[in-house]
Amino acid sequence: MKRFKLVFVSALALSLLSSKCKEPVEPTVEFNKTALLADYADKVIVPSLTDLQGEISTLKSSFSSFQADVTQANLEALQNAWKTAYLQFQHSQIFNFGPSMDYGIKGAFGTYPCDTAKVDNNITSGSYTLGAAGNADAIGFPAMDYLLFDLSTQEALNRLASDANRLTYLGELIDKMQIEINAVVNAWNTSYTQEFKANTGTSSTSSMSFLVNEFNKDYELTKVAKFGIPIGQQSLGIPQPEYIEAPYSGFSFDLIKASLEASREVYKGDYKGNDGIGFQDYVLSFVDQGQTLNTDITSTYTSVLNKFETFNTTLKAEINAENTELSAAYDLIQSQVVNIKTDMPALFAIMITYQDNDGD
Amino acid sequence: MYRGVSIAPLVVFRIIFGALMLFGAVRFLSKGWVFDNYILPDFHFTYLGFDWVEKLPGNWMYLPFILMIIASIGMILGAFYRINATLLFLSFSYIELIDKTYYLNHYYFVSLMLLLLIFIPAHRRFSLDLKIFKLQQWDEVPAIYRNIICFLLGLVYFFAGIAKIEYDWLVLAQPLKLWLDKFHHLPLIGGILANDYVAYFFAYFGLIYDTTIPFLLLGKKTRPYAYFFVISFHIITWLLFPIGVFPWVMICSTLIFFPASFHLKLLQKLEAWLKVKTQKGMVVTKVNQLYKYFILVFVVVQLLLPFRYLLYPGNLFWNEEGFRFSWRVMLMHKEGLATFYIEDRNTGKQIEIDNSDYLTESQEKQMATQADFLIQYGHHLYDQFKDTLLVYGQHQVHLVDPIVRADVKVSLNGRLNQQFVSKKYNFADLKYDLKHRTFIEEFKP
Repeated sequence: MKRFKLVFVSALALSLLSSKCKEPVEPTVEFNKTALLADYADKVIVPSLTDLQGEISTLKSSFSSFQADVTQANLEALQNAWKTAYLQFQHSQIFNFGPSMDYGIKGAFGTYPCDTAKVDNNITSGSYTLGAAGNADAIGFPAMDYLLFDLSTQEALNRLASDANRLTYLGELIDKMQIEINAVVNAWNTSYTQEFKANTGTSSTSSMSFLVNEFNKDYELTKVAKFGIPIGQQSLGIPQPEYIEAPYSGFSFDLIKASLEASREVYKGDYKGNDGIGFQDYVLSFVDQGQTLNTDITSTYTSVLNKFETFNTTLKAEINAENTELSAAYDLIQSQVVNIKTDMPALFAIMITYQDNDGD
Repeated sequence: MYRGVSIAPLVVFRIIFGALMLFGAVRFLSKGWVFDNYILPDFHFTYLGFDWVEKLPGNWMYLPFILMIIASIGMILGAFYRINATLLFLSFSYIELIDKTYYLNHYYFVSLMLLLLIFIPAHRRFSLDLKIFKLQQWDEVPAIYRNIICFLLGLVYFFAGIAKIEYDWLVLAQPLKLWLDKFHHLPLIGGILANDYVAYFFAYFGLIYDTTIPFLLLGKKTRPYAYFFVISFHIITWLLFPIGVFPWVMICSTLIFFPASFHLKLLQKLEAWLKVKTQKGMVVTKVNQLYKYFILVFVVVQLLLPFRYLLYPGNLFWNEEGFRFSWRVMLMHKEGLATFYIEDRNTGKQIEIDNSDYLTESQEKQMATQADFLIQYGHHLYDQFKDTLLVYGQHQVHLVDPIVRADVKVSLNGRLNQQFVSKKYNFADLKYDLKHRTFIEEFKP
């Protein structure tokens, strides 16, 4: 027993002594993770999804006007509504967990490249199930890109005017999206917000883990799918323009920028004037490295976005022009990954893997 | 060493360990890990020298788990004990050898313990074997059998303890601080747990606990207190960290330190309850000569293996050379990002690899921070791309002997990332062996 007391007392003494030492890694600022989750839910995610719901509702009414009166002016209004909604989707799609995951909206709204032959085939045959797995690349925003913009606005108008099936298909695409986004927003408003806020901790199924994981996945999806693959990063520098997102509208740079901007906002925990507690605040609560890391992350976001501002034609045109700045832009996007995927989770000490496995 | 001591502790240990193995196998199956870890991946990270170990095709991977269930029941009942102990050792070790992604110190411990159990006559009392083979009951067996179990358990603690004598653990209380910080949100205890003092207390308490507990368990007077600490220590770690069955393995296994009389009473109660007729048993004091050599080798290897890191230069936690099989438990938190590139020798143009095309998330996580994984993955990628005709639209490229490069950055214990491997090396040329890996960039503390 004596020996035991000795052990215990010395453990205590040692621990008290040692904690007086100065150490570089220390979250000194009290950080409230419950408030972080609450802010993400109330100030970022729900407003973002609600905005997407609103944009899709506008899209739907623009379509109704166009359907009632097939004119070029109405088509242009519809195109604009599509653009606005698609841009909003770049923000809302980041939160691919909970209801968004249940309804699979990330895939249903944004799978590209669109299989245009499949779309045409569906329209011609008139028999299809939009929700079928095989139709994943014949629906959503990318399919509308094809239907609304292929060849020229005039040509798209002619085809929609002369083919009632085509118009119906377009309407059904919008209806499907509306049903799904309504269900997602409804789920967040009725129960999931509570569930999300209550799911604390850092396990692989915690809200914090969902947020960090999906935030990273979305960033990497932008890096790889929206940009890397088309410019040839995975194909020995040989461009693959057939993988460009929204090729018919020539809208891909805007989507990339919107997506990177959304990523930056989510990092900060901000959304359209809402200033929430975000990853940034959590990072900054770690004194020394937190400051360094945050400076690195924010300046990288700035330089990446500035870089993309310098491209003033379409991605396809820049690829055809063999603009060497494309790979410079890619390197900039890539340089952020280690900050947000390695350093940030290392500070948060969360399980970034799916699997709930054992450690030792 | 060879004097006769009661067989009771061995018999109880056999039953407990069999039950743990049964529980572990059922738990692994029920979590769906057989599919996730062994059926789903296309590629596995084998151990050096064991690259001939291959997984069984498809659902056949369930077979070794089913065998484990059968064998552990056999072990509990003491039926065909040696066959079942061998089967358990082989099936468990086989599963572990398939992929070091899932390496855990306690899995290694279980493998070693099963190896020891094969040769321990734990079926000579309270077993079906006595009936099946009409064996005579043994009452006393050479002490070496029990001693070697105590040795292995003590070894795990002691080496886990001295492994904690290092800068990050003692001075920074890392990675404990990072890990405990996640409890901040808990009401009442959250603030306490995420407090720095607590991290330091755990760090030093863990160090003292690990290094002294084997000796305290051996001492007659200290044992009850020591066991109290065994239980509380492991339950606390079980509550705080995702460490699976390890706490239960240790809580149950350390019962072996209790006096023979304790085990005998337990056994007699069991025998009375199940109405097992006991006979006056034999006293055995002889041990096979080969077994003595086996134990000698086992002990020497186990004492030396954890020190093999001394043969390597550089930071042990960064390089992880001589890291495994050394009871370095819960000592670090690493995050890494490994980007591989396949380069065409003729043009210098590259393909950036999407790791998820080849690895599962668990595999990628391990691969991104450990040099031996990087080499194996680099070789695997080389095999995927060598002598390959790639078709991109109208373009065709024939890769004959591509260069495999990697840009790897690692964060250790909450530090900002540092370059781990730079793009200047061709992984196709790097050898997977025991030599010091010079391609790892030096760690800057």
